[in-house]
Amino acid sequence: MKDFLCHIILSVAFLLLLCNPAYAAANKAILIGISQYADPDINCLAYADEDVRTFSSILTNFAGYDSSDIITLLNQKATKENIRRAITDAVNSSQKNPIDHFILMFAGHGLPPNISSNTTNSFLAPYDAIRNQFYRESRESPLANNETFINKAWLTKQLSTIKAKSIILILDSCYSGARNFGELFAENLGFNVGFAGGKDTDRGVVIVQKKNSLGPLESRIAFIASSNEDQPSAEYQELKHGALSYCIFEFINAVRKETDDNRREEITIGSMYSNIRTLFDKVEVKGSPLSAFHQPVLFSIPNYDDVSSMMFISIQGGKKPKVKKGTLEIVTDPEGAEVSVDGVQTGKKSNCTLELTEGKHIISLFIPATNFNHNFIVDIKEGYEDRKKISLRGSLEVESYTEKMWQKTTKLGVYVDNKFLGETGLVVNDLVAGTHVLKVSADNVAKERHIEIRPASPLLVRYKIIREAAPKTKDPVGPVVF
Amino acid sequence: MKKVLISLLAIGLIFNIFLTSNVFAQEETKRVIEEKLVLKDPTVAAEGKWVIGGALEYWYVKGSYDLTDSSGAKTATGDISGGMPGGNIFFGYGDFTLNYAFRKGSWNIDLAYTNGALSHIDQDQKEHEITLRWLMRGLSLPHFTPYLLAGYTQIDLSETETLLNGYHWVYNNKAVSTRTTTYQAPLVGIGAIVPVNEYFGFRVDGRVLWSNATKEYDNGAKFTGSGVGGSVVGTAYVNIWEGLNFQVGGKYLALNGGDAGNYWKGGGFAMLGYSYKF
Repeated sequence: MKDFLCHIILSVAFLLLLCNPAYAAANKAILIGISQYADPDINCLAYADEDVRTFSSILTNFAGYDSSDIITLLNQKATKENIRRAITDAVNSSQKNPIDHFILMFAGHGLPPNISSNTTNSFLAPYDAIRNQFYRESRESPLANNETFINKAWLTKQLSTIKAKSIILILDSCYSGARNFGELFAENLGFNVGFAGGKDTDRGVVIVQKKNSLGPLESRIAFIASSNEDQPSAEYQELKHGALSYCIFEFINAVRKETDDNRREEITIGSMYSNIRTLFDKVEVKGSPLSAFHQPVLFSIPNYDDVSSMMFISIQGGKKPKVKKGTLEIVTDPEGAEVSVDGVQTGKKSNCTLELTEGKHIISLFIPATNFNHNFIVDIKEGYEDRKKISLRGSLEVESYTEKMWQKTTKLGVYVDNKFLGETGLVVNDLVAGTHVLKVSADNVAKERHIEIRPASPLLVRYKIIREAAPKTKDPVGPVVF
Repeated sequence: MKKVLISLLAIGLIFNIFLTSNVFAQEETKRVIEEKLVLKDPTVAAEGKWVIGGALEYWYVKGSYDLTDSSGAKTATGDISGGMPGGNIFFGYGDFTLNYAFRKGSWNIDLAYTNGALSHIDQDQKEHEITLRWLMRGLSLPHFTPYLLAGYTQIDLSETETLLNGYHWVYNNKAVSTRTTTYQAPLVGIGAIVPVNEYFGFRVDGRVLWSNATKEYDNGAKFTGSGVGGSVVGTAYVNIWEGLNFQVGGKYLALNGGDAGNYWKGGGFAMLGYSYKF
């Protein structure tokens, strides 16, 4: 009887184990988006964090990812240490539990690969990057954490050792298609970089060739970048996204619209990249096609044919066989946000009511004045009448302090977008979300920086007051000796 | 027992005891940006620089040299000549400079006493001086920076006076008198540097010295005394090149040794110095 009970328990445990999504799912995504950097010398980005948040929603709502499969590091969370830890943890855990589908997305600042060394070239700017330390290198330990930037050599080494059947690296940042990054990546896996395709069919596709002495590669790797190594990539107000993110979302929306809601459609790397390229040629910003400013790049390892058939994501269709509709009333504070549904502008501004087909939709709210784009997903049922009240305001707190006990803390005048709001110590809770210019001033000294206000993430800016001796135009004593 | 462990393992798996949680799961939190704002404050002292240097100097005295008694009546007239080479080293930080000077030389003094006696004095002098200077930059004007001085000086005199025309000293009944005198004097002073331009300027200071003096004759007689003396130093300086400088000036020093006798000398001096700031 006891043996029988034991077997029953073990069997149930085994069955539950198989059904447990944590084990069944072999997806993993690390999504990094940084709009607001700590270093005031690094410009803010209006859409990077929202793009990553949106991609995370797409993965969980439409692509079968469980939220536990995704590590999302936004803004202040996206420190170098956190990014390194997330990646090394993924690498280490993949050794025991190999991953089927791994996505690493980075939306933020990238830096040009113009350092002579090809082993310590900095690449991505984490939240705590310090711009004037970009070129600091260490000969003693080229792979060490000796910079405030994410080291490309370190990143390729990690990604080369992760045990995953397919690895997708999406870099929506400047200079992201760094050839030597791809080369190093390929070389780590035993490949030589051949040439970059120039014809229409393989434009922007970097061809790699396997070295003969090595065995078969377990992974297929797609590295999609928003620009060539010598090109800055940008985010555009016309697109309300970073260039690459926009193209990815557009294609996903298009596929969803064409796919019945009871089906899943596999978007391959080939189809995704092909459509990214098409959109770069088609979509105009500042009166010219996007491709006139920068072009996307695809590194495919082991070869383009294998990788192009690899799954980017499997997407849940959104087309209903029978049109069933519900209504959604969108009320925002402030009102007047431009409303888009599944990437298509409705021509309406909040507050407004939308009639939507049954199913999940990506709703975008855009405030042009502050360049703020907010996306969320709604699930519409037939006859649905819902009201979404959304605050598009955020909180800003500005403090000043001194570390010298004997010095009185100076109150700074605080200006946002050139409007005086008060002195340091103030908390403003109703700033419209988006990009603003924060200025503080005291004693005829003023300092400005861009800030990103987010509804769900209060921002505290702390000014350490350093009092230095006023400069003397001339030493009255000069170099006279005793 | 083994079966119980297996069962526990199974239960653990069922309830995800062994599953790791997502440590990076995050909620929106307050973002904090640290900034620095540098304010230029005239009340904050400028960060000082170290300076180290030294100079070779020579003090030359030539001129009349008269003696008076305690009532001020002249007892002898004469003249003095001689030189005293020396050197100084100094180091400083910010507005403070510590200087040590050592000088050693000899003087020739010829005297004609009012009683008709003629004498010649060979006087050797050794001098140690340590001085701390504080530049009061807070009170600086474009061409004027005052400073305060405090220090200590010790002068050792060893002299032999020979009466030349048949006179002899009463205390030893000889023509030659040998004596040593030591003056030890704390001092304070006030002065100012007056730069004309980047290369050329003046420095002038006055000092008050409280001296204790001891004079000992060759017969063992010893006299002590004390009093207030003073000195005035005026210097013109030229910064020649990269810390190399040349100074020339005049100096008058008077020490009041009370019963041990007074000391005074005035003359010109020249210095060649070098200073290095870091």
